[in-house]
Amino acid sequence: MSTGMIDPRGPRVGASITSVLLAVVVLLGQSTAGLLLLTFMMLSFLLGTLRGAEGTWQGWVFKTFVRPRLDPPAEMEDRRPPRFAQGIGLLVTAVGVVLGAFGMLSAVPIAAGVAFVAAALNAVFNLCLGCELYLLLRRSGLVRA
Amino acid sequence: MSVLIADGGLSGAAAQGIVGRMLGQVIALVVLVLGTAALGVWWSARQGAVRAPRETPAGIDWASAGIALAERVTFVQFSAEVCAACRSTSRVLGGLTGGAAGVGHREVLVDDHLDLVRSLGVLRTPTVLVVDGGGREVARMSGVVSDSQARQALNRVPAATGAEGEQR
Repeated sequence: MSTGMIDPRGPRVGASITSVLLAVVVLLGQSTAGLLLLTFMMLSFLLGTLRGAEGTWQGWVFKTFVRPRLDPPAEMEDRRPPRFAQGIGLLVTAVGVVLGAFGMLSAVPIAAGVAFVAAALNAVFNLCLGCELYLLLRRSGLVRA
Repeated sequence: MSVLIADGGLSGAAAQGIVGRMLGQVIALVVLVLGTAALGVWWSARQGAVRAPRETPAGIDWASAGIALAERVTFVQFSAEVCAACRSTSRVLGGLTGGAAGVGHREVLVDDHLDLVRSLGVLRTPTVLVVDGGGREVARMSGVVSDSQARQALNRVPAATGAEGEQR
């Protein structure tokens, strides 16, 4: 389960769906509705952290509705960087959800905004956060090979 | 907004308050989207861009790190196992150096060369150092490298540099 290759367009389509929903959380602002939607996003990221980006409901949407309409990918991608990105999303949204649940509702749109930046950069510009951070984490000794 | 219209009893001030808050959130989202777009454009423009060499300690012993330099110029590529941009960069540089005499391409994994990575100030993968025959860095690129960017980097190397190349 730890290694394997996936269609690189899957995580990007997933990130597009995720960024739209996170934008809605920002629009909902400091509200219970925003907190509930952010909680849902956090659970999606939890799924992605445990099962990889291809194991989320967004991954299922890609596999079921998008991939059948596409040509086979030119190249496959290692599944670990997208999974790492899911973990970053989990961390950021969890902070917003926990603070929001304790009454600090202003944390909800802020956390959604931070996660939105990462998801949108991934979707639109193919920026892979895990790839950008990998060497920095290795250099600092936080992550081992 | 339909709530406001349906509830005629809502006072003007309260309605204004809600509209004002909603407006604030719309503005926040617009700023967020524009900021993200600017960040993305900046990041994309940097991918593979040929930059001046970094000040690195003189006398890096490439050979002892297992990196055999080519006669004229070598692309020393730092990669990570899972990095997709590293693979495409490797293909581009491999294709370019295959046909050129005295030009080499060496790809190393950052995990095997953490000391070198630290002393050279390499922060991300892929990072490509353009090293002349004398072992000096003449340019560097990071992020996915295109064929034209690699050629541009090659042009930075004076034609006659080698181990005993003449000074410019």
